[in-house]
Parts: sequence; structure tokens; C-alpha cells
Amino acid sequence: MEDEKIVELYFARDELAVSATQEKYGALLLSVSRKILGQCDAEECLNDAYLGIWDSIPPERPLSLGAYCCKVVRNLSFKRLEYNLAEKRSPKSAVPLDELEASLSGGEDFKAYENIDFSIAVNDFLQSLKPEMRIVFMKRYYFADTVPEISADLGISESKVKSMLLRARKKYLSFLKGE
Amino acid sequence: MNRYPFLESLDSADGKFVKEVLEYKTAERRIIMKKKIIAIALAAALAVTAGVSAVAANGGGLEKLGEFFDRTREAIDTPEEFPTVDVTAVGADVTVSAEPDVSEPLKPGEARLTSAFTTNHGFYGTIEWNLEGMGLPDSLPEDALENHGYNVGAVRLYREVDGERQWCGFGGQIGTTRNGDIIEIVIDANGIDKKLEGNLIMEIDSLDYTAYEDNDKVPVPLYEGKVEIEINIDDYPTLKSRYSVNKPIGEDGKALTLELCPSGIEIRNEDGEYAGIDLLESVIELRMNDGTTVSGRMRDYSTHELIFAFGTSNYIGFATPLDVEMVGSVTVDGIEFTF
Repeated sequence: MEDEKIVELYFARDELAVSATQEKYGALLLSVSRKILGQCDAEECLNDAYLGIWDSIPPERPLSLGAYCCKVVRNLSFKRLEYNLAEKRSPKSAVPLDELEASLSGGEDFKAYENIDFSIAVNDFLQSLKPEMRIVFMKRYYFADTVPEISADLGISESKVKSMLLRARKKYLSFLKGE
Repeated sequence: MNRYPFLESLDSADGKFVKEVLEYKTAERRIIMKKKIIAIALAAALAVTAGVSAVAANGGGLEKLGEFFDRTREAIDTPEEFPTVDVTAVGADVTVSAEPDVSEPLKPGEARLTSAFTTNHGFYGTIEWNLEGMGLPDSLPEDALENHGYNVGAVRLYREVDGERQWCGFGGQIGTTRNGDIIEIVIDANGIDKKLEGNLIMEIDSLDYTAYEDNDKVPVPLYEGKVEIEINIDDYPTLKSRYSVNKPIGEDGKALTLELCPSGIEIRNEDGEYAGIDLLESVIELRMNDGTTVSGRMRDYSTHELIFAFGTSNYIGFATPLDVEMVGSVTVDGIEFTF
């Protein structure tokens, strides 16, 4: 079913909207959440996400339902992960998030950036990248894809992916610093 | 403070950037693209491998796919005459013109496929690409790592459906050599979504070399243009798969069949569905008719890229094409498939 039709179902408050979303994007959304939370928590998180999407459309009318759902699921997954960590529950992420965080931060302390308006800095940074590098960066740090997965998806070598990530990370920190 | 503040900061990314990633999609198979030229001792067991291994072994010139093909023709039951076909290259970043006669010298910027064959799961070919006037240095720069040579950035295959170009495969080089301004590339494209048919467009993307940067090996661009080649895949021979003849029973009680393709292995049940055996985690043993065996596990780094170069849970690809006629049986985690 086309995104527009699914969104119309949400606006009509037709519960078919949720099952249509699940059918079209369920696997993708589970994959996004599973990398952050692990399988078990991801399935629970997804249920919360479907409810969140149901509650937010309307008034939201996303141009891309898939992208919108990914943002909701990623945001909820990280919230749940932080909750789990606060409750001293060991993370069961499908990917090593500590490693991913460390590489993105370049060893910098986030406190130095706490007052930044990320909605501007992040989007200015992404806009500044060439499309291929932007996709590589987003796949790695937004979707937590591995380097071999990105290499395969984009049909470029793993070393080229690493090289692009290195340059993108440097640029990202430069943008956060306002350089 | 949150534990992953930098990662969470990306939640601010505009939906258009998320959408861009979702729409940049891709083939069904997730593969690890093979970039290394591997001279392996497996040549005795994997006879066909010898052709490709010679690339690394002789060091002097890259063995043409046709020669490789000639030496294995008898074993593989392929046509007597290696096909020469109409090859038309069209412009991408570099404009090239139709070049049906492969004996004609290439014009600057032109590329052509000089030989090729396919399998159910792969595509192999030799490409010549003339980069005269494209700013290439006379030889590799001083910071180039030894034994890494020239690399093409990517090989992509497209088909046109209803006027729209769709990705149908991607891959990389088995080896690349340079003869003056001519770059010769032996390629494989293992990440195909289904058996290739009909007219396709092959895109070759950029040329680089390898150097150290920030304690990591990184590609350094030499030429960042692209070239496209139009091909009719039906003009090329297909190396056939073999299918196991015994019918071992899977955990779901259904009979299993292993497809032994020159490019790799997959197992399906009697309903044609994947058998549910995680091939990435399985120990796979190939028993040759001459009594030798080769075994390994994709997850095991010592065999990764030596025997199995890429894979998913449902498909494992060989590092180099295999002469399937030489194989007597394949055992996957103790389940034997005979031929």
C-alpha cells in the first residue's frame, strides 16, 4: 500500500493503518530497534512505537512514512535503552553501541556540546556531505549498520567505507564546534 | 547524562535524510565484497581457482578471463568458442561510443567487456578501460602500499524495467593491472538479486590505490569518473549449478536439496524455501572426487576470504569460482549432500 494511503488511514482513524504500517515497515523497524535493544526489548519497543505513531498522525502528516517511523522507533529505542541502563540492566544491543559512540565522538566529551542546537548542526552537517558519504554516515551511525553491510549495500569496498566514515566523523565534530 | 549522546544527537536528522537512505536500496543479498587477490593453496582442490590465483602468483600480467576459461572448458562443458559480442559503451561521467569490434583500440574514456560468464548467483568478466588523458600518474605514487596495486571503486549492474534503472548486482575486482593507459580489470559480481538475463548496464566507478592514513588502509582516488557498458548477458555462457541427489531431511521434516553453483551454495527444502540452516555459522566441507577435502566456516576469519568470500545465512559465496564437476559431496554441519 502506498504511504499516502496509509497516512490517510491514520487520518481516518482506521486501525488498518497500523497493520499496513506493520506489514510494510515492520521488518525494517524491528531491525532498527533490534540493533539498539536486542531482539526481545525491540519487539516490545515496536509495540510502543506503533502506538506512538497512531497517536502522532494526525496531526503529523509525514512526507515519508518509512522515515518518520524509523525516527520514532530509533528515538524510543534509545529512550528505552537509557531506562534499561538506569535500571542496571545490561544492554543486549545487537551492535556494540559503546564502540559506535566512541568512534563518532572521537574521544570528545559531550558536555562541551550540550548547549548546541542539534537540529541545526546535525542537518547543516548532513546537508554539507555528498550524497554517497551522507548515506554511508547515516547507515553507520543512524541505522547502526556494520561496515561490511554498508560495503555490500552500496557496492563499494570496506576500506572505502572506512575512509568515508573517517572523513565524515571529522567533519561532524567540526560542525558541532562551529568551525 | 545519556550514555550515547552523540548517537542520540542524530535523532535530530531531518526525515529527508532518513528517507534518502531508505530509498537507496539495494540488492536483497548482503554480501561482503571481495577485494583481495588471493593466491591460495586450495588450487589443487578447487581446480578452477588456479586461473584466478595465477593473477597473484605470476605478478607480471593479469590472466585474461578467456585463458582462464579455456583451461577449464572441458571440465565445465562450455562452448568451444569463447564469445565475442557486441559491446556498446555509453556515457556516464565519461562519454564513450559504441565499440562492437573489440580488436579496435579503445578511445580515451571508453571501456568494454572483453569476456564474461555467468552463474545462477554470479557474474565474472574482464574489462578494459582506457584512461588516457584522465590525469593518471605514470605509476603508482610513492605512498602506495606494496602489493595492493590499482583498485576500482565499485562494479554495479543495472537492468531497465519500465524505463527505470534498477540495481541488480554489484561486485568488485578480482584483480587489476595497468598497461600504459589501459586498465584491465577481472571482476566478479556476486551480489546479484537473481539470475541475470537480457540487456544490462554495467557501471565501473573510479580508480584508486591504497595508502596508510590515520593508521588505517584507505583508498586514495586516482580517477573519480565512471563509465558504463551496455551488455546483453544472454550472449555469454552460463556455468551450470549441480543439485544434490540424496534427500536428507531437515529439522522441519522436509527433504533438502543443496544447489552447488560455481559461485556458491544454498540449501532449499522441498517447497523451494530456504532450509533455515544458518550457513554463516555452519562448517561446510567440500569433498572432491580426488579424495581431497576443503572445509571452513564463513564466521571463521581463517577461512573467510580464502574459501568463502561473502555470504548471508541462506547463501555462501566462494572466494573464486569452483568447478562443480570436481565435487563429490558437500557436508553442512554434518548433513551430507551427494551428487
